[in-house]
Amino acid sequence: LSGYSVTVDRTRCIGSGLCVARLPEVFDQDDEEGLAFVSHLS
Amino acid sequence: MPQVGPASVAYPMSRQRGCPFDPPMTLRKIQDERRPVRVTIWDGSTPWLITGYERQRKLLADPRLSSDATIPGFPFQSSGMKVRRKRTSTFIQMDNPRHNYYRRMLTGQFTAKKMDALRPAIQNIVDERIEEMLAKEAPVDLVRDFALPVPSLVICDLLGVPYDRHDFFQSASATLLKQDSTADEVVEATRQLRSLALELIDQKIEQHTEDIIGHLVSRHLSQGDLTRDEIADIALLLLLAGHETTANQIALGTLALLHHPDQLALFRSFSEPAQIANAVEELLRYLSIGHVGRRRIALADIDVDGTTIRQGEGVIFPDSAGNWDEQAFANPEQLDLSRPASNHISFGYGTHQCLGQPLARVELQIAYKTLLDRIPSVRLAAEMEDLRFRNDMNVYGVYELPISW
Repeated sequence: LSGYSVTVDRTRCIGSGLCVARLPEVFDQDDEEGLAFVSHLS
Repeated sequence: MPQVGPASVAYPMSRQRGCPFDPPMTLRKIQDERRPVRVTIWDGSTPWLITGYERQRKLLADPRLSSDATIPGFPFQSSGMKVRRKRTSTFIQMDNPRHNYYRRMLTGQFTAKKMDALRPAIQNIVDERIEEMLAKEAPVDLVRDFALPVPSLVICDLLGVPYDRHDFFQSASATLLKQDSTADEVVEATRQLRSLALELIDQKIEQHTEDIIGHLVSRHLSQGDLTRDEIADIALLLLLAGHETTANQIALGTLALLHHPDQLALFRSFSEPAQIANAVEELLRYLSIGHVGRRRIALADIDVDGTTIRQGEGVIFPDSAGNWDEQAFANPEQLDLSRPASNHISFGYGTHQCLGQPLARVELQIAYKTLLDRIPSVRLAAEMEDLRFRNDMNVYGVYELPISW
């Protein structure tokens, strides 16, 4: 995924988990609010 | 030729006889017009019907369209729904930021990871239901013996209803969903479920448990974010939202597979979890069981491709009018389990989209796969034209589905 930059706007995230379902190697959700974050992208 | 013009079309429309999986023909014609069209609903009001995949997604994400059912002119699905919505108020009928305040107390309970961790428990529930069904003499009703109890038992686990109350929970929630329950029976079953929820809340105040009610109690009741009554309302909302929908998708999806032998064979040939997951998405797209449409009310004048929706006017989004848009899904009338289907809008779109969708996906994947694996000779034990379809209900499906093996 070089050349791309991915961020999550956690003020707008609704925690549907779709991004984690599609790209578990990139996205994750926190356990408390279920909001997404970028987990494995440097 | 009858004019399909302002306020001339009644909504919801009836489906064509002999085509129980297809959206109504009139709806598909309106869809071809590619603009908002006024329809007449049960109370005589004339909200706008929004068709087209992109247009629906754009407007469902537009904060100028409100879910607040207390605003005069809100286009309710039915008189019963109007009564129900006025009686209780949960975050599904609130706008942001209030909606997010409540929703975010729950989103952490429905993460993709947590739902994946539930797979063994859901598999157990599904296995037990199937063994019990097979111990009976065929034909059995798949709706009563499988499709309805599975999601109900899963919700028991999630909410933290103890095992010795499962039968009570199941029969009370079945009363809520049965076609022939009287209004009094529904009110009484709701009261019983609500008092069960309050009883569980009190138990979990004494002793913490790892379930949704336990979480709401320990994290939010003690801090004053939620009251006991609000937690009970949320528990009832989760029960209602997760039960009827999943149950009907299980039964109607099974029927759709039995009716399309090539797709049934294709489903059975799938061994990769990703293939099964996509097959479930296609069944969700194709069947679009939310056939009375999502409802909103305009907070401002909104221009939609040259048509102005005025402040205070109602707006309706039928799922199939997006999911059967040929610009989004080629040959939408074909059930094709191998097409990429996960962009469907059967769980809605925007801030209100289904909170329980990761759970529904896991339940459906396990239910279809196990049913077809465990009962290789499963077949419909009735003529297609004799089945009773839920044309008159908010969630589409079949009332009964006799199967044998």
